[in-house]
Amino acid sequence: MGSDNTDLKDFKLRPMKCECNYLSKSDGSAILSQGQTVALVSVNGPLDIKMTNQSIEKATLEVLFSSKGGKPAIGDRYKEHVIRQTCETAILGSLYPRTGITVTIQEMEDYGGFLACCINCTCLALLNAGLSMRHTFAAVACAIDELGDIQLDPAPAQLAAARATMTFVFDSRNKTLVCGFTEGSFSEDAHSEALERCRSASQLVFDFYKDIVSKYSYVIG
Amino acid sequence: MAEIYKLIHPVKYFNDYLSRKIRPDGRAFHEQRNIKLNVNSIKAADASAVVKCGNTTVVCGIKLELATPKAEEPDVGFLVTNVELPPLCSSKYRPGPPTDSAQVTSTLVADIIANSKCIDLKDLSIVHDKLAWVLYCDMVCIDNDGSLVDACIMTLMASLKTLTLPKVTYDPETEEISVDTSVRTKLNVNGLPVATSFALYKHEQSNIVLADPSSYEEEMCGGIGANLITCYNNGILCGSQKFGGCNLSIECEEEALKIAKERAQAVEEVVDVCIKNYELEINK
Amino acid sequence: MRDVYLSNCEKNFVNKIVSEGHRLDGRTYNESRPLNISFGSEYGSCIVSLGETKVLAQVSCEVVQPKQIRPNEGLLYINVEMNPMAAPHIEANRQTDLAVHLNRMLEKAYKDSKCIDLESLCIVVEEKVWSLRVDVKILNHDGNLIECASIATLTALAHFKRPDVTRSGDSVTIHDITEKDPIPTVLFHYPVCTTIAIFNTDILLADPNFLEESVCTSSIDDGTTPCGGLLIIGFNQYKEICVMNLSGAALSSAGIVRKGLQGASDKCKEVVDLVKKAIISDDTLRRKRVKINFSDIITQDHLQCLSKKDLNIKLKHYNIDDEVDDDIMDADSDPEPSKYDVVASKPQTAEIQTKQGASQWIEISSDSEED
Repeated sequence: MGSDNTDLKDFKLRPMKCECNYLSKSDGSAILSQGQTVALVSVNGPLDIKMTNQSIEKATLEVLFSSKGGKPAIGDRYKEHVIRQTCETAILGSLYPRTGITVTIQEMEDYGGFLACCINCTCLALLNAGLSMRHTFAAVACAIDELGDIQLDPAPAQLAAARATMTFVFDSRNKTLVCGFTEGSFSEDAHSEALERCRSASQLVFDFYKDIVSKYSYVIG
Repeated sequence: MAEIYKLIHPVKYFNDYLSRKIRPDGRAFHEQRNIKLNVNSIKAADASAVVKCGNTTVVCGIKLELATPKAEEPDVGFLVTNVELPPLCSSKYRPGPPTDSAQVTSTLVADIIANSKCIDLKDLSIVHDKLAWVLYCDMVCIDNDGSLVDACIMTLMASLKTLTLPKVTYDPETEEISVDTSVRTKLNVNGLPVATSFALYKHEQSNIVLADPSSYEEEMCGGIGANLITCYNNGILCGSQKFGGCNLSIECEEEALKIAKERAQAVEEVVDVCIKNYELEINK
Repeated sequence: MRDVYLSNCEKNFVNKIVSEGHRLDGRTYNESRPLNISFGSEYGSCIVSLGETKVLAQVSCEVVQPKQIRPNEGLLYINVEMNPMAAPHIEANRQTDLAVHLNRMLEKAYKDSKCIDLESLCIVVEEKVWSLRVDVKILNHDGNLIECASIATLTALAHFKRPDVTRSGDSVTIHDITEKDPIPTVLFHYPVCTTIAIFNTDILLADPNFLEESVCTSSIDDGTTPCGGLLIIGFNQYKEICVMNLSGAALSSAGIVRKGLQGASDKCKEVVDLVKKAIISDDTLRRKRVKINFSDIITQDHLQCLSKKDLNIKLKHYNIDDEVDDDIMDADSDPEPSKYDVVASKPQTAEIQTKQGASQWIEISSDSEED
């Protein structure tokens, strides 16, 4: 599409800051901030679970989302569903049959791109817990404004002006789409363009993962 | 024999079919199931519809109520959608509070309706800061055989398209409300969002896109519910959700969008034909 | 709650070193772990950490109808939540005894001690009052939860500011925080709870960690005297007792309580001063328009930390309205005839049916299965 149009443009993700092993009691945990959005994730497992929930083929994955204040809402179940489906494709569950893996997500601050931040933080916590995975995954959010311009990793002001927002999750091996969800209406071309941009931008997140792991692991570094 | 084979080698059974370019129920990969749509099926509801996509059956009933709008948004009415998955629709569900999958489906349906902007909530306002319509849209699944969101959206849209609002007069002095049910106006519906579900399966290094999957196919492709749901309204995408299943390549996505677009036209036609048929009946 | 087993080895060792005047982490008997308070971007949200024990508290408010017997008083709810994040042995979506106990302790300390001026939360008598809700989330459970949770609750309540309200006749307008300065909550006094672990009937340990808590409440197998328990004491800054609770073995002498109270009252006073100081310094920062956010708690002096500021990428700029491509695509897809028929069958009904010959069944016979 438009191969002669090769002018390169600068795109920016908000600064990322992360601390692994933030919680001492969990098997793996991470706290990640992307700009002002902050999420905390803990991973426990593989551990012993009730007979009724055991699966003989693979680990049972349980995802819990806890909002900052107030009562649990239906929207939380949707977030859990998204994260569970993402983790399920990534974790090699067949290595841990008859066990359970619990992923708990705590909302800290929501300033745009919250679900993307949760997913990235979950990936870091899974890496920290040392679970075997098929691939890592990275989420990138973007917003399309009224003029059709695409903004990567939008801040709240950009979200308010957006016609549509999209979040895409890619795997580290082939950069194929693991999970994706959109809000608002948009054309097919805008969708595919946003997808391509997020796909390229996801490399930054994967580099971040690699840098942090190589910082504390002598084997990789 | 085939049944035993299915039990003993569930994956091989499925793969055997797919390698012959056919699905276990005899459909081609991109073929959808037959759809039957009936409107105004429940007389007690203000508007209703039943849809049958293959075996998946969903009933939708809309109930009208008057309420005071929220203080923050005094010019806006309410559209409340709820999807119920009672134990009778599948052996997977138990009686009790709404399951996670019912809540996820409810969220998906509500999101699609909100994103497509097919209903302008300002149309539901009657008097500024005093009175507005509440549309309670309850969708009950009678038989869940996959592609649940598609059926829910279709039955909901068919119901909304047949919905008429009675005339309401409000006296600001006495705060008296009178409803005249004989004078009815049609609710303004902008376009017709159509959702199309797909299951994605990795078979011998190639990714296969299965349109309109049955619940058995959804299960084989890794989970509860479809893997990819795309939604079109007036030729514009108004939602594309992908969960689980095999990872989606660019070619597969283009393939899926093409099918979804075609299907959107077909479904639009069905709803139109059905409503015309229904209006003929009334005018007789 | 799944069972957590405490090995005899651990139990005997902890009992032994405590009686010899040591603690596992090298603290003295009266020493607490380091206390750290950090605030979130909103008013009334904070994370308090006491050593490794971490608690998140968030205060939210809404306008509700008051209770009939107290028509001019606002409401206060405290809700403690514990999920597997706190510790792996806690099951999800189930109230544990510990969480219920914690909830009750906090209610005693903040609701029953009447530390909040509930009358100031009234907007219109018998009609509209503010309802404050404190959500306490346990992030990491490493002992002495009540102390950490109570400091978090107190800090969140004292930090919280509710939106201003104007009354004109019957209507009440709630002003957004950006429109009008929000109002802080009035606290009559500042209660804080603290835990004291009792070992061997007369040794008092301040701020026990998870292992010390489980050792002192467990019974000894060899049939000797049951040794200790946990004493929870709540004081306000005027050194008045607000809560007292003992779990575990019965006390052998009244002197122990007196000894515990002396240490606790000074400690609570110190904590309250610390909380007040933290709130004041946070307030001055906010006045200078410094953005305060939970991302500040991510430190950089740790081996497992990383921060990246410049996340730039150069991407090709696509042209969205690529008309030429669209035309080609349309031309491709047009000639294909629809495979489906739309029929209006019965009254009020329409159907989509697959046209004849759209697909064929192939029977996989039993022969092909065997190969």
